Amino acid sequence: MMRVASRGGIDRQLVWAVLALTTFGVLMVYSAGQTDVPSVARGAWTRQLGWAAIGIVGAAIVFRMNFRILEWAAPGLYAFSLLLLVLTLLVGTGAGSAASSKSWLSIGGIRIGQPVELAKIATILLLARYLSSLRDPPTSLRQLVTPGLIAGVPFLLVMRQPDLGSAIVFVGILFAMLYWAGVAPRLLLLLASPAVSLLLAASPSWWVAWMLLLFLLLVLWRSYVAEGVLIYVVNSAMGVVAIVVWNRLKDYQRQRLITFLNPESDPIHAGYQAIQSKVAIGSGGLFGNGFLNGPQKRLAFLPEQYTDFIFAVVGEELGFAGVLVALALFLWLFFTLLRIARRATDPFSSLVVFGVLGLFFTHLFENIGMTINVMPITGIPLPFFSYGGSFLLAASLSIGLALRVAWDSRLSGYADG
Amino acid sequence: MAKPAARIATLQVALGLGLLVVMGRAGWLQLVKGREFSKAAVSQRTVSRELLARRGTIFDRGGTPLAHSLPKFQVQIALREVTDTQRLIATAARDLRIKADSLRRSFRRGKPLYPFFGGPFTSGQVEAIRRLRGVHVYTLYGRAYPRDDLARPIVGAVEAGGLRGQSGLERSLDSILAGKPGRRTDLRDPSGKVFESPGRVEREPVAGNDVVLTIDAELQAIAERALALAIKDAKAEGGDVVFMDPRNGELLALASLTESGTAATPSMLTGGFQPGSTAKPFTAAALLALGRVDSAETVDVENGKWTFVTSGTTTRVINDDHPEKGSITLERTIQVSSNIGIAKFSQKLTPEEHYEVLRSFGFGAATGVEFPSEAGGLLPRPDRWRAGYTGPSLAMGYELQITAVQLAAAYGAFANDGVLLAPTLVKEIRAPDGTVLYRHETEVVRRAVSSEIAARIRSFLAEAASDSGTGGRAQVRGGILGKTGTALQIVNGRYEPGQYRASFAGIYPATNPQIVAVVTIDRPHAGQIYGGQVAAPLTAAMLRQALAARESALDRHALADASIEAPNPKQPSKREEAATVTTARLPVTDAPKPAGKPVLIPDVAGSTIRAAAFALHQRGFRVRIEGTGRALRTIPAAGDSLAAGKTVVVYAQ
Repeated sequence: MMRVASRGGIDRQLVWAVLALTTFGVLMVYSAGQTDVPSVARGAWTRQLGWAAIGIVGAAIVFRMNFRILEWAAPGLYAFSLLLLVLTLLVGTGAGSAASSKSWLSIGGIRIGQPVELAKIATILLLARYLSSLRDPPTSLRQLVTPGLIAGVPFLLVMRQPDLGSAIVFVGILFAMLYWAGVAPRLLLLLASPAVSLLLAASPSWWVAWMLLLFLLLVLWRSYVAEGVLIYVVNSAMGVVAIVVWNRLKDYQRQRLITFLNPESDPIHAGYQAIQSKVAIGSGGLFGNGFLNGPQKRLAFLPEQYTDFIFAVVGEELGFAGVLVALALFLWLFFTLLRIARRATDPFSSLVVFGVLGLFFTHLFENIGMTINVMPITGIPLPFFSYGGSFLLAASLSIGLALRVAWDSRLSGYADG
Repeated sequence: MAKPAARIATLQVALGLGLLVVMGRAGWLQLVKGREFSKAAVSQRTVSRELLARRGTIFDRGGTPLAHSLPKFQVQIALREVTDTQRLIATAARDLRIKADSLRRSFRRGKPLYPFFGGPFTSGQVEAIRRLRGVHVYTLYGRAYPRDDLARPIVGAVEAGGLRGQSGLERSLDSILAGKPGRRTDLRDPSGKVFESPGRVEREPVAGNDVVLTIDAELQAIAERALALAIKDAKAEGGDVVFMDPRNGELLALASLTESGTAATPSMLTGGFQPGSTAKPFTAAALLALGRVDSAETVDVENGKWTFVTSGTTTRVINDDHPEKGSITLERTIQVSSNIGIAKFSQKLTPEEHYEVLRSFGFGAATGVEFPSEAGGLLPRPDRWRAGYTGPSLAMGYELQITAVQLAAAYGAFANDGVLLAPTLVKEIRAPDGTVLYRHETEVVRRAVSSEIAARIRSFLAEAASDSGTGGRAQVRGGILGKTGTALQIVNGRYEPGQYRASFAGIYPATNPQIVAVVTIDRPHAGQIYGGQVAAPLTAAMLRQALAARESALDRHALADASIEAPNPKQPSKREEAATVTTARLPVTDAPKPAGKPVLIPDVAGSTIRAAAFALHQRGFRVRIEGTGRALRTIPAAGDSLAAGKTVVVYAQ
């Protein structure tokens, strides 16, 4: 099929999908503020609207930007964001339910944003620049060291805050972009294997089974001996490290892991959010309790109802139908981004758009996953829904990037075969 | 940057799968488990509370409360909700007498977060403080017995908490008195704060019904006082008094005391005793009813000691304490209470005939009065009688167990021209709004004997209570009919010498009887042991006090009509009272019409005490006020009519 885009056309699908998601999101933030118990969320929706407006301006600016400039500026931007992350570690503050972690940067007592959101975009840009500069996709672990470092440094800095949820986003971005760059899935699996080993270390029998499977895979895939040994050693080490890491984890982190596995083990404290979110969503049924009328939300049983757990408001008030609509909108967004990435005129642009997709998907999966108790509670926003200026702005800028890529590919008369 | 199609497809599948996982999980939670989570959510955010129902009041027949439930209040302060700390502390100190210092300390330390003051406080005490923010007032109902121990064994008691009857009428009438608790469900937030505004009252509490007893508080008080004195004087171990209106079976007073003077168990209903000579008139009635004895027929009373063969070679001896000479008639037998006489006469009856008459007077079966654990007594069936023993013994009042109320009801049959009426304690049941739900109507059990025979027995009883009979000391103006009894008591299975129960059963006044009185004194030890010495004078004393009382259970007007003793014309006020005081002071269908002009009682519910009293005074009623604040209801209820000059009780809260 030949399809010639109209010259200079804006990608309407992307615009509609994002506008639909943002409208849906602002409505939910508004609803989240309608409670019987006084809540700070009451006026949040107006601020969110303000941020959306700023986001549109930001997206427009990014849209106007030449991608070559972005490519050129990527290392500087990355360095700057790392600097901010380091600064955050030194002088950062907490906020809201995550008051004990340092994720906010403030000047003169006014919080001006969460640098991690900038770091996510900068990491996408730098990864895209690095991966697009390679003649062939990486085929060995050694070739993955550089991209690993690009994502790993911000990952570690964010882990130090500590903010596990946001840190995992860097991993999501890395794997998505490596895959898009053409790295063999088996290599990605080997790369991920130490993490699997770490998780499975909690259960000795599972861990042993994993180590056997890994050995078989290494033999089967006939990887380099040195690599194979390295992977195996690292995996073995992880089994040991797991214990150490476990001991080093902060109490609340440990608690979160335990309560993720069994929320009812501590229904009052750590498991509270998980249970309340599950109860609110579950009680929504097929069509929900009606917009603005979720009783669990109204009586403040639902924690962080306008930020991290806003999806529970969707579930409680609009039911499974509302959940399906939200998921359909996201799927529309993802497929649109995927299409744009495929049609991009150059590898850098394509990788950037795919990185953005990876970013959104990780957020979506982590956030909704935690509200429906398939992921641990990590405190990460749902794109276009959760109240929060930095992230909405970052998301808007990302969309601006994607729009630009779409624009460029249409300008060049991209034809898909 | 073209990608291999497989890679794109893989990606699309991966994205779709990721969302499918989320969708599947959401569907599981919302569609499969939805109902469960809805329930969990509802139970989380709602608190369901019981709303207590006020228990009904137990009144005496004149409207005096014997047991009522008063709201009492407890106060809890939620420190965090308080806005005006100083005012709260001042009000608490002034009204609840809570030390200002201790409260201030709580506020400073924030501990305890919810100070609780159990009180109980009155409505007046919590009136001001309950309007302040942060103050939560809980209502409880306490059961109070305003006339102290008056008729307590009858009225009974409630369980701790004041909601369920434990004994006595409180227990037997529990379903009537208890009312139905209500229920309301309120929303709450995670901190436990309750939101009253959207609260739903699923069920309003329904207050219990009020019960008007047949008991006359005045007569009851007289009975209890007199009985206590008599027990003391006679150095007795206890005693029972029963007053019953023979015209309708209403029990007017039921007193039961032990030697310590405390209210005992209501033994006139729950305990049995051998009546002795007070049972003789029933055998006499049987003999007369069956025509076995005529008025001239005599038996030889053997100079006070009669030995006779019961069966084969066994013999039995019956004695008379006060021997008569020669032969005596049945009338004389009752008058002097001759054991030998009644024993000999009783031989003219077959066991079946004898048993049948005693049964028809109600012995051996519970009367059915509204009281838990009423005893039925024991009357041996004829096939178990021992020849030569049971018949004469029953004639003398032995070998059977009866209760004082049974005896009163049986004597009531003599007074009521031979018709046995069911005794009752409940005169009326009223709904909280004053509607009469039940009004006792005279309940005929059966005709025990013909009215002629009843009249014959009454004439026997007149003789027995005359100066030449054993009960002469029971005489009161107006004339009393009655029979004494002095029965040996069984201790450890055998008759114990020196342990007696002295009793008197009387009918008063002699013409148009208004009262049946049964008095028993348990084990008098002060030398005087006979019913004629102990029980008869007590009966007379109580009746005299009742006649002298300001509000009497006795219709003195009727006494005056009988011209036994003319009312003193120098005391017009007393005369006027005598004209209006009737047995039934509440309008009852079968009650004699009050002499005063009946006036409709106005509805004063909701008005102030002052206005209520004014409205009632204007219509010529006397007013008694119970409680403070606004009038709730009156006894008799609005819409009833009552003779002018009678007392209307106003209940207020």
